[in-house]
Amino acid sequence: MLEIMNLKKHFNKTKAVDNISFKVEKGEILGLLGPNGAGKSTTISIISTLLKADEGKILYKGVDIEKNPKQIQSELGFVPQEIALYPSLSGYDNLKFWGRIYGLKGDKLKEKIKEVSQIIGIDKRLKDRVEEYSGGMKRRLNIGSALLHNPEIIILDEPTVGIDPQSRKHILDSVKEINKKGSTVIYTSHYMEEVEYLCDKICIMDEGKIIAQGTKEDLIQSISAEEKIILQIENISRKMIEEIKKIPYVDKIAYGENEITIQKKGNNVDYSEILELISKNQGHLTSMDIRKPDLEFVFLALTGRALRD
Amino acid sequence: MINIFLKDLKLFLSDKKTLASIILMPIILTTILSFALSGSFGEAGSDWTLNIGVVKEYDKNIEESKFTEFMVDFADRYNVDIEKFQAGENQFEEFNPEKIFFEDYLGNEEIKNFLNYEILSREDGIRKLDNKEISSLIILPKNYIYDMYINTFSNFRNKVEIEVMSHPDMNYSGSITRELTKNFNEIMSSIIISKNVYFESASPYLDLESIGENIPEILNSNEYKNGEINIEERAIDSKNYISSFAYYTVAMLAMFVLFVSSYGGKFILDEKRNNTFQRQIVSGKILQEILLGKFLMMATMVLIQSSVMIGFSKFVFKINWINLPQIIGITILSSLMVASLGLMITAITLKTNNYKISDAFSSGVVQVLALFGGSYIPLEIMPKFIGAVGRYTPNGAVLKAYIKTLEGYGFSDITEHVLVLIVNILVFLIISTLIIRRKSNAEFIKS
Repeated sequence: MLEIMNLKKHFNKTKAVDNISFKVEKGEILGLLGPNGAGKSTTISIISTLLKADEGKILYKGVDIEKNPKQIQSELGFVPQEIALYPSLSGYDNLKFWGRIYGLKGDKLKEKIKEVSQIIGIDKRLKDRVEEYSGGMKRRLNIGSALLHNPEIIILDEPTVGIDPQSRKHILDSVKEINKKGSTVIYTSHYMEEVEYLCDKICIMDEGKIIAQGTKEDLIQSISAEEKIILQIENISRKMIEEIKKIPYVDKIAYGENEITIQKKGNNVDYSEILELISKNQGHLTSMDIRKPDLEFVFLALTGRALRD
Repeated sequence: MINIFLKDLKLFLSDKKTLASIILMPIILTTILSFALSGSFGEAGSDWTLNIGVVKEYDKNIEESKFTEFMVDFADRYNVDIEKFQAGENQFEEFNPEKIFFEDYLGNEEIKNFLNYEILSREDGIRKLDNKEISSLIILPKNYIYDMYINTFSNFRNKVEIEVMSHPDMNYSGSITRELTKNFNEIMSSIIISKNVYFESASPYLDLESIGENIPEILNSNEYKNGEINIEERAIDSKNYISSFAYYTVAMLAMFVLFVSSYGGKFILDEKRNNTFQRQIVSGKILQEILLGKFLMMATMVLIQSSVMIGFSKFVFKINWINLPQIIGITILSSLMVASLGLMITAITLKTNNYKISDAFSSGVVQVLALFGGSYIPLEIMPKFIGAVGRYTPNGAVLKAYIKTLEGYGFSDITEHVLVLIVNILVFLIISTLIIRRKSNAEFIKS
């Protein structure tokens, strides 16, 4: 349905998107996972025709969208990362405007506003001004505004940033429901658990490049990953890190102010060796968590950094 | 595009603060200025007259005797045959400065149509001026008669200063009086200059007796003629007079419509900041459609603004908006002018990505245009260069077109102002097009 080929985009000397390629099949949910600045938003801005690529090609249903942007524009539902609504208008007026933008009118428009407002859970507050909505409601309306015309493909750019867990769950469930109704979805996030929960296929991006892509299982398998150990420690020192690195079963290590993440290799591991080193270096262990491999782990394995860094 | 226009209109109408500033403010200002400056204007629909006072600080008999003494002394000193010289002097009576001023000038038929004068003492004149019983006071100074004779019949030149006092609340009337006085001075000066030129040219060849004999002939050839009074610009007979309420309704309207033009720029940047602009582009809308929506929104707001002002002034100030088709035509043209100007500001704002352009326009440029366009003070009583520039400003043209229509003039009399508006519209649209066509949608989004 959508094919991205050797896409490149730079801003001044910064390579925002560096020769990436991927495909999205009809009916699937593709996740673009990566930290802030990885190039996700630039990539979807090019796909949605907001920006022009420096090089490369994007085919939508076999048509080059640079030459014929209307092809994708009329079938696309775009949910930008920022709230793109009119705060001084009511929720109803916002939905009406965006519906009309896509050619809906009359009873059909009214029906769609009713349907979409129920999906996103704001049907009881439709007459209120958007500026009176909570952050979560604005986010949901932001998504709803892109759904009115039954788009064949929906792009959501970090739609859950800065909202409460309840709204976040509502949004994720809404995306699943939209997908079930037949829309293809491209979902960008730096929340690994969202992408794991939603997406059939995942592209992991970092510094403008796709460093891995496939299903969640493919990605974890690709790095032959094993468990990871997450330690919460007070008083982490450089010497402590260096000594932990020398332990034979430690494959990779990432650390922050009070946290060390270790990717181990091999079986029959004796964790006491790590605990002794922490104690020896005047560290104070507050928690220890052993996790099965996940996408965060994949990212750590591929970049040497935690996804949230 | 209609959808974008309706949304923009709804956004505008939902902003109470903006509505107050463009609809309530002109009504309030019109009311204040109209009452404060009502004395400067005539009453609409009435036979307006200019009531002035004239103070004679000279004594005609004493000054004539004084001049005769001067002539005798002059004849003695230069050994002139006084009989021969006075033969010409008898004809001097025909050149009587007092008669010329009161009978020939102020008594001229055209001036009499709109001017009443009364002879007053200085004290009474000032008192009446204070009470607004008269709008101006002309003071003919001491030695006026003597100095005028000296200037006319000798080769000397004494300074004659005619003073005009006017009430500060009656600027318009005061300005007319000053113009009339200035006109009189110019006529008298031209006569005196002709005499002096003759005096100096002839003195090497003729004796003083012969020069004296010929002076009356010179004076007659230059004598004041009715046709020399140029009162065309003041020819308001047969036309309706404009009250301060009518004037300031139009003046404030012409000024406040300009504020609407800054909202296109503000709206487009708001849309960029809240990402709805980008979202519209993604939906397949092109920049031109979005801008056309803003254009129609601004034009409609001016129509609403104008209708409210005209309606308010009709029902509250009882202003008679005659020739409604012409008023509607001017209002539509005015709305297109503001929308075109707004489009240009929007294009510049979009290119520079800076609210300062719109802000600078509404807080600075509009005020300058208002001053030059006559929104604060009528152009007739402003310095000439302001008047000349003002008639080509968009708001000045709107103001003039409305005022002339209210005065009873037809379309042919407002053609100049209509043309000014059309030229303004075309210039604004061309500049807007040049700015917009140089960039793609993506470039506007990026900047």
